Amino acid sequence: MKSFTYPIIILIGLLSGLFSFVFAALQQSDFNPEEFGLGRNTFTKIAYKENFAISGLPDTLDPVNRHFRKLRKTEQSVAIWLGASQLHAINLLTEGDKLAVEYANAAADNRGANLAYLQTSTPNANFHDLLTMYQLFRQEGLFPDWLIIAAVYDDLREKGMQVSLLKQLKEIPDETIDSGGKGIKDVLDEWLLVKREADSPTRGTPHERLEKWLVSNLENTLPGYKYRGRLIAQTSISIQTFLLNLRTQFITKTGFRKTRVPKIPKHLIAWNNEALEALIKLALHDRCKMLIYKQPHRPSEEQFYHNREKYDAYFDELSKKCRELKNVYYLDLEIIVPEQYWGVTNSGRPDVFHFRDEAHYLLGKSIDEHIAELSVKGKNAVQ
Amino acid sequence: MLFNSWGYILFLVIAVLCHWILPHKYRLFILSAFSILFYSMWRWEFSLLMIFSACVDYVASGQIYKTENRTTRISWLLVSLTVNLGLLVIFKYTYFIYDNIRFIGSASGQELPDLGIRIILPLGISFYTFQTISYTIDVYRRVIKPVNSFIVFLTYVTFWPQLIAGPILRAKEVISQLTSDRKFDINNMSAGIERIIIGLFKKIAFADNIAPLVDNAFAFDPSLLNAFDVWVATFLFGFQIYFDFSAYSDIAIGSARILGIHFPENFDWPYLALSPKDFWKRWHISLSSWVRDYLYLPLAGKPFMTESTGGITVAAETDSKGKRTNALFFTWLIMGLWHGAGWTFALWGVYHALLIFIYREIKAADWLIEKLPGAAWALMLMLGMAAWIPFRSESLSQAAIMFSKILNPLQYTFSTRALFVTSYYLGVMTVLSAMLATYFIVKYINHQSEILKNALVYAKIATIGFMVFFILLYMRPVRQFIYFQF
Repeated sequence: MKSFTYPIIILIGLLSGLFSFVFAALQQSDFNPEEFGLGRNTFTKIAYKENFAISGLPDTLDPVNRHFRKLRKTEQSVAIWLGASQLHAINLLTEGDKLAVEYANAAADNRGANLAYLQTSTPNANFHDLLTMYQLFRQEGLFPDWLIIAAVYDDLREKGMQVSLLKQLKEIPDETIDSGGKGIKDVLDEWLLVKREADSPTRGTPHERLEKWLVSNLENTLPGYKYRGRLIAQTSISIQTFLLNLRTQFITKTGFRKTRVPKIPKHLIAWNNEALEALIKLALHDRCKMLIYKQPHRPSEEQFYHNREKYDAYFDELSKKCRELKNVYYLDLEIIVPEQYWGVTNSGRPDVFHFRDEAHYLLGKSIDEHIAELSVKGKNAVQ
Repeated sequence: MLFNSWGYILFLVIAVLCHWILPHKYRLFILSAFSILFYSMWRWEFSLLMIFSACVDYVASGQIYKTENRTTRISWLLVSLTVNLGLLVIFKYTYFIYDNIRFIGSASGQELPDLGIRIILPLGISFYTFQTISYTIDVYRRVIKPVNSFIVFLTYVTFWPQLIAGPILRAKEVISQLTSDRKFDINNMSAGIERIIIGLFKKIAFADNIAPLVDNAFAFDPSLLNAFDVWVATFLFGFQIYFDFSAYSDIAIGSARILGIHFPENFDWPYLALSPKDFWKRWHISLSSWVRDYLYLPLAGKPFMTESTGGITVAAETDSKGKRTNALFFTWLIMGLWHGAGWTFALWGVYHALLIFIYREIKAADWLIEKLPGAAWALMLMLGMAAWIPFRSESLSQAAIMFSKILNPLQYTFSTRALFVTSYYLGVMTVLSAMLATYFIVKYINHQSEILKNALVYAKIATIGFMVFFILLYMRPVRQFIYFQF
């Protein structure tokens, strides 16, 4: 290679990389990875009642807390509803569509109950995440009268805990650890790790401040740089879709395996059950009644997502456990949403997690009906 | 300052511009000022510690050179060693020493309180301490003359490309380059930029993407893992640390090259080694060369060498067997503890010493390397990767459980696999295949004619373009380099 060609090669390489990046990033200006993850035409909604937030995601919990405080001042009973993306996602969202929590509030108002539902949810929330969400209320001194938990079988395979929630935690008192047991101790350990990371010697250094300033300037000056997060998500989705298609083709052509049944490792079930155990213990300690419900699932059997036997066994066990405990109730809502109200995933398959407005109505109504019934009859209510 | 950051790119551009624009007589000031700025971007107060360390060695080496009196020379050498190693012990090993004292106390029924102080490990202290020690010892050994100017010495010690994580360079390799009137060379500049791009790409594309898998795998309860899981975890960590550390070396070498300074290579395809001895000629070459010259060869009673290249040289069979075996194990124990203040690191060092010892003692190893190099490579790859188990483990018990898994034939089953996920296995296979493919491509291209090389110009442009694209997309200083903690 001649001496002058080498620098030119490097320069052209540099420029081609830069221009490719700018071009690719600018294509992503309309792409919303969060919504994409929910499935085709499925969108996130935050619910309000009289201009007060009644639902929140990990980054929008403050308005819900403020509303909770206001409700407490008026001595209104509060039910905290915790779950995964089913609670905040609506398929084919149109104006006027509501979340289940809105329908539950409307139902409670209609029957003249002095009860408000507040919802917090995050995608793929396992029981540790729900436990963290509950602790986030507790640390603010906000103790509900009811704790409603969406039990999502698929999320039992979620290992780890969501950092966006852990970051909002404060120190967990010893008394809480004593009351909650291992599940909440695990949350504390994970929080300590996140805190240690946040307190690392590189935090708050001049370099970190310089870096923030540079990145913010790059976002304002280099075209497309602010969309790099979306480009990363798009790249990741494209790779995963490609691998999935490859796998599907392989399976179809070889007949190696006809259906894909996600595995839920036993140790993860056991680990998540510790968090559920902690949730129950803390709720009972806080004199809060608890309703754990089996999340609605698409009813058609051929599209059932999991190993039916293991799925049923898990919920049978859960139901049995709830029956044995005072003030802890179990509700099976698996088949309350008819086939036509469910969405479609990005790969065009039937969505078993997210549904339309009509389904939110059914879910919200069912929850409030059962809360009403349980408030009157307790364990004698039909479950 | 982290290399994998926009802050460093900006810093480098400004430093390089100042270096080449200003006259030669200002260059050392420019380099030392920028080096201290580079360090101070982390915590300025620790740059004073580094300057203090440099002052001690500057004075001590001058005094050693000035006199022929053996006692005086040794005294000044001891001053240097005591100050440098003392600082290293205080900042790096206080917790470790105290924890061990507490453990012994607890075993004998005496509970000691927590240390009650928070010690922050100054970045790069292990590296610049070794560098300053080597300088003073080299003066003591009369390998080099001490420099007359403190600014020259300070620039040598603090020179930012190698300050935080090496390569650990000898004074005679760097000082003459620093003081020479270097001329701007566009090819040096291009080669430096290319090397930096490669380093950033290795760090961002490989090391940072493998890291979460490794963190997850080693966070698992080890008793739930089977042998395949353990192998996958250790292979992944082996790749992570290689890409991470060699990336740092690439950026260091590239940054120096832009300034017209040539650093020796620090890695040479270590996972293609055929034996432990071979591995240490390919992995962190400047450290193994340092250990060779300042620990191993003197302890083995052999003449030392004076370059930061070549890696480890095992003493010949004609030497005293006991002496060289002791030297071997002691050296690697120190090497292990240099990496981290913990018994897991010591175990890692001793494991490597054991490998070298076994290969030296068993004649079949030589036969295997000569007759079946493919099998020798595969065996060494497995043995070398297994060494990372204690290195990455949180405790000796975790390392012991993981070792027990891979040594137990009954653990080689797919039915109890905990680390599921195919992506872990795919990751290992992909990186290993890519590494081998890259090696053969590089080797093949290097041996071809000029015509073919020119034909590959487009491929090179595309590769650089792809790497730049990737760097722009993913560069965030989210993960510091693993070797920063050493």
